[in-house]
Amino acid sequence: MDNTDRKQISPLVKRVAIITAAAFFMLLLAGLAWWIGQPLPTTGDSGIGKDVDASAGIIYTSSFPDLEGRQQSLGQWQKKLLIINFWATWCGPCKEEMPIFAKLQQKYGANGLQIVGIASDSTLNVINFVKHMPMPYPLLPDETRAMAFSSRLGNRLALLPHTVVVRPGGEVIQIKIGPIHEAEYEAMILKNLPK
Amino acid sequence: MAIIVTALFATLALTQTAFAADGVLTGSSELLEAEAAFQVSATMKDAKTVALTYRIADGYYMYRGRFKFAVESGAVSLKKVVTPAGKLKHDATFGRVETYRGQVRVLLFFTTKAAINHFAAPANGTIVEPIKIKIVSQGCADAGVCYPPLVHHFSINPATKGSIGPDSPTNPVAPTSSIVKPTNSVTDLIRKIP
Repeated sequence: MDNTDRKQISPLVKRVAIITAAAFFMLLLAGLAWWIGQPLPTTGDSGIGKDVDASAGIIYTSSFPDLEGRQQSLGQWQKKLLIINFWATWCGPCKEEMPIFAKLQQKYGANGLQIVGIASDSTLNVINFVKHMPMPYPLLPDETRAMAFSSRLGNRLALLPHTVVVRPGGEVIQIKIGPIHEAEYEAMILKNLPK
Repeated sequence: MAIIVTALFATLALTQTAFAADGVLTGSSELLEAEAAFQVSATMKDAKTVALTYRIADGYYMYRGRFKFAVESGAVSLKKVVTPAGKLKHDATFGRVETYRGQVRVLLFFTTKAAINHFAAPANGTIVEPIKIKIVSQGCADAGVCYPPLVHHFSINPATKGSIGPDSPTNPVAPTSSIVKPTNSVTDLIRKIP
């Protein structure tokens, strides 16, 4: 009896079920494709994730020594578009991109851009570095504290270079682990310079 | 139907887990944790010599000039270190630097402290007791990032045959496998920063 009933309604049910299943399947595939294409929270190029302690508070209240040993507070640049670049003399890729930062500082410094290079390195190494490559922005070496600060600003694996962009007032708008792209950076700077 | 949907959701969940468990991504390339990118093991080559073997993952390199070696405990001194020649690379600060890729073998030659002080020492410069050494190394990835200096401690017992891995940070006496499973623990990474 049951079998007969099932046989009678099965063609319609089957068709509806197949159509529904196919639609569902395609929707899920589309969703999967979209989801895979999404930027991941830990990508090198942005990711201001929940593990980032990137509040204006910790940035503007932090100080690092300059090459003469004077503490420089990052708070002195709160009205500027502040780019904090973490680097070291032992990091080849860091040094390769530093001429770009030098160029950008020279070009937009008068318009409110301030680049700061915090080095996970000794003062002596950084002094030797500037003898070869003088830089138009402050280089602040702190071998013991630089990486801990970098970690608090989203650098989970302690990799260098690591660059953090802070809008005037303290909003962190970009965190980049790895080399920057000059044209993209210039466009981002132009968009965010203080009015 | 239900099976298909479940399978799809399972695939989604698995893909997400796989992404989350992997290293940081810069641009489109995934990065390994330092311990996985620069694997090291040690063997006693003879009674006075320890051979270190570095296996550098594809797309990663190490700096010859960034290695540092020290004896932490044991009645021996480091007499000589032999590192192979690397590939020359120009560096803005240091001029010419040498880099390693693939597999690198470093030889550490020891001498007993007694042999230095008294030429007629019975041990004849051979390692007879367990020693502990510390190695600092540093490398980068072709993706354009560098890892902070990596510190390894090895507890080497001359009686042990075969290769051993570096000491585990939590248990500095027992050697661990040289292949360290990558982890995503922030505290682990912070602890490794010198």
